[in-house]
Amino acid sequence: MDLRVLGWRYENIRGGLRDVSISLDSSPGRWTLIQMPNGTGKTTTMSLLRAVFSGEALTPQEVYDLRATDITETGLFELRMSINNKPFRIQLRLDFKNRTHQYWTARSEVRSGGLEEGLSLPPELKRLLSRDFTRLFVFDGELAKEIRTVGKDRAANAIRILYRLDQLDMLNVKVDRLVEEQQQRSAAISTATERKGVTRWKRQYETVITRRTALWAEQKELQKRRKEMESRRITVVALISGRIDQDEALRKRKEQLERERQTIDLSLLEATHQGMSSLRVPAKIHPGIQQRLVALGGKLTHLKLPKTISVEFFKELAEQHDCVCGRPVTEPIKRAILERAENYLAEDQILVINQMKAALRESSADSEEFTRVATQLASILRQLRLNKMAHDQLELERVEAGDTELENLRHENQQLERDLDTNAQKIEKLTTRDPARQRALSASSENNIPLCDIEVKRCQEKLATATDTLRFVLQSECVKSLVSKISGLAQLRLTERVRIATNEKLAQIVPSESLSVSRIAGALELESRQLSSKTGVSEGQSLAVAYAFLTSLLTEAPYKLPFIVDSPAVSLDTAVRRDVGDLIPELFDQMIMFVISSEREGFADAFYQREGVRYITLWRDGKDVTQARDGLEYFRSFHQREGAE
Amino acid sequence: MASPLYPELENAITEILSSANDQTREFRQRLRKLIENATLGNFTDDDVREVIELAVVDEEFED
Amino acid sequence: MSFVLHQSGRTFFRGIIAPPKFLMFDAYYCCLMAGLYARIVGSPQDLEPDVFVNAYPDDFKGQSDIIAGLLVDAELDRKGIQPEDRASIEREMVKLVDPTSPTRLNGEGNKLLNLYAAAGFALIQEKMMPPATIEEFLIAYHAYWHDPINPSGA
Repeated sequence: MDLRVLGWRYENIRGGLRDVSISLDSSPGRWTLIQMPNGTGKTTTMSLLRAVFSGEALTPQEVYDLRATDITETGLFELRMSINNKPFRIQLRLDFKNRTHQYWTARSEVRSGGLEEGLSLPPELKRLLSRDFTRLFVFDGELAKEIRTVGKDRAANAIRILYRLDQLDMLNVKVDRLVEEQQQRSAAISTATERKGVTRWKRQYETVITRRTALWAEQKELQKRRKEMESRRITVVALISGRIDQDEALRKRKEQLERERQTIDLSLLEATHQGMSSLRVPAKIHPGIQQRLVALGGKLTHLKLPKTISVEFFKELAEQHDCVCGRPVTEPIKRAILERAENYLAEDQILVINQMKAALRESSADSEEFTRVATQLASILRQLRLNKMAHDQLELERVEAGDTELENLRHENQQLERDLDTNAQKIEKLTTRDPARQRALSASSENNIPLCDIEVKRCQEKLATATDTLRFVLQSECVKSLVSKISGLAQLRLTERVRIATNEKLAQIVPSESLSVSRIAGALELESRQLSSKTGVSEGQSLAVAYAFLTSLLTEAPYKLPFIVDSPAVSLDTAVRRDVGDLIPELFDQMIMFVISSEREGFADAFYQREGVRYITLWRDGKDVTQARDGLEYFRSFHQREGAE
Repeated sequence: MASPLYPELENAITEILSSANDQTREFRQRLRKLIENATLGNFTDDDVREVIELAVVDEEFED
Repeated sequence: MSFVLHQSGRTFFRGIIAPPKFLMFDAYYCCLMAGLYARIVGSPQDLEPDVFVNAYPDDFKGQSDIIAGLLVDAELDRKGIQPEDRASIEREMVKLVDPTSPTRLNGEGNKLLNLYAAAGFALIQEKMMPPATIEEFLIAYHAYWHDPINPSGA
């Protein structure tokens, strides 16, 4: 689905927009730069655009606030667009006196081409253009922060909606409703006794579902708390380090210890790796094992095992005319031979035992190796302990010297450790699937999610049997499960695709800052190591991330939407402006940018070289009415004129 | 006609359905189509019911 | 092949299972070595209900003959089969061996392996706390084998 903006016009709108018409008509230029100084209705225009796309309901106050003057009675905002090359016109009619509003649509396919009441967009588009979604492509600067706010799942939801995965959720909801209907129908024709059974199971089912929802909430809360504590822990450790650094002598010791620590860690890794290699060879574990292997091999050889003649030999012999000794093989002799054959091994068995024998005899290993590694490991662990103690000592010396803040930080760190431990235990009890652990922790369907799930299933099935809908319920669960898995898998891959595309763009827009998205779970999360704990993410960085994300999201989607943005570069520094100006516009089939004069440098001037760019300048004249003028020269020179004022 | 679905969803459907070997071919084809249609809002209650009723399940369960 | 753990094994080793550095099979193997050396088998009730892996992991594929040999060695000793009793020895080997199996052992051999591993787990559990790190386990396991007071093995 391809949506393009062809133009819009205002009647009696505030900001001097009494009678202004913007026309991007007849193959709209790919890029349109609209210069609107502050106070000429940029924000109003963005709001109006969002409103008409989504058919948003305005409050009486909002309607009234759009009036041009106190005496204007009516106003209008009309958007012209093409949807899959068919022209559409949407009007937002404003009645300032009564503070009401109405949407009207003109569609080319309706014969008269006249206006119909209401917002009549193709259903698919209507579904897509929710209030929240519209803010993505009629870009709201506030969004830049929101997509990174954990707890608000803006980023993940944007992906879900754009790629229609929310529709699959609707499908599952539909399945649930069908099950409910089915059960109600069954219940309606059952006897009193049967109905009692149904009621009982229904109540139990509802109880368990409620309990499960509560457990899910508990899990979410615990995980959130965990993240907060871990994050705080990192900060506290950094602060402690910082306090130690206040004392030059201590700082030097600290750095020395950290260097040592790195060396110790490395040697620990190596030694452990070597230990595992030794461990995995039986003969290396203990000299006794090696002895036994050799002894068994010797035993087999000594006993001349396996016998080298195989059962096959005898079977073949039984088929011969004459025996190897020369005598003829008669029936009784044949029988005797075959009987004896039973005592012999088959050829392949002989082969296996010979292989075993060979391995046993060849087995040789340095049986002291494991001991050496174990000793080395013990020594390294001792070094590690000493290093940690010495590090701790640094902290204690500062505390002794009167650094109360450090003392407090130490306490906080220790408390956090304890709390994280408790948190881990709670999470384990809540989520473990391991039956042994469940027993050990006294987990039950009251306090453990997997066990509760089992109980839910059990009640569901009991209820289904009571309502004679067991089969249908099982089938529905099957369908829902498949749909969920599909939706989940698709979302995972899409999210990854968008994440990678976002990082590629970030690398191009802000290469010096190595910003990257680590994951998009609900919100868009940046790599934590890059965020300085003091300043967080700068506004410029925030915008860069938002642009990278949105462009990745929108350009690869099954819909082609215009990207409309207000002051895209004002918070960006010159270098970033250039990159944004060079990169972003390439990604869209249509882009409309409202700019102010100070954004020319680095951003708008990047467009002067391009073909097919529209330049429109709006300004308020002496009578406070907004005028519009087309063309590059005026656009550029207006800048100068404003400066001269 | 080319599939109206984008590759990630297309592949997710193929992967998940191909590992559901206890289901019939008909069920899998119908479910695939239902999902395709669902993403466009193009499905009725009856469509869903029909597909549900094609699922293969084991009605034995422990008490 | 189906390798089965002692029912408490998963819990005991859970602090250190971290593929590919330390596999569940490493835990099984360590218990197995201990049980074979001690010539003790556990009972089927000690085992978990489910198989945890179906074949030797790559790191162990080269040891299949050795492990089969250690099993034969343990069985001969445990059953008191005399070293000169050629026929019984051969019979014992045939009972456990399957030429077509990548582990060289048949179902019977496999089952016995699991029982030896279960017994070995009990021995190890007596001598150490659930390990928190791999290096801690390596040191403790080494100590198990070199305990001067109570040498491992029957």
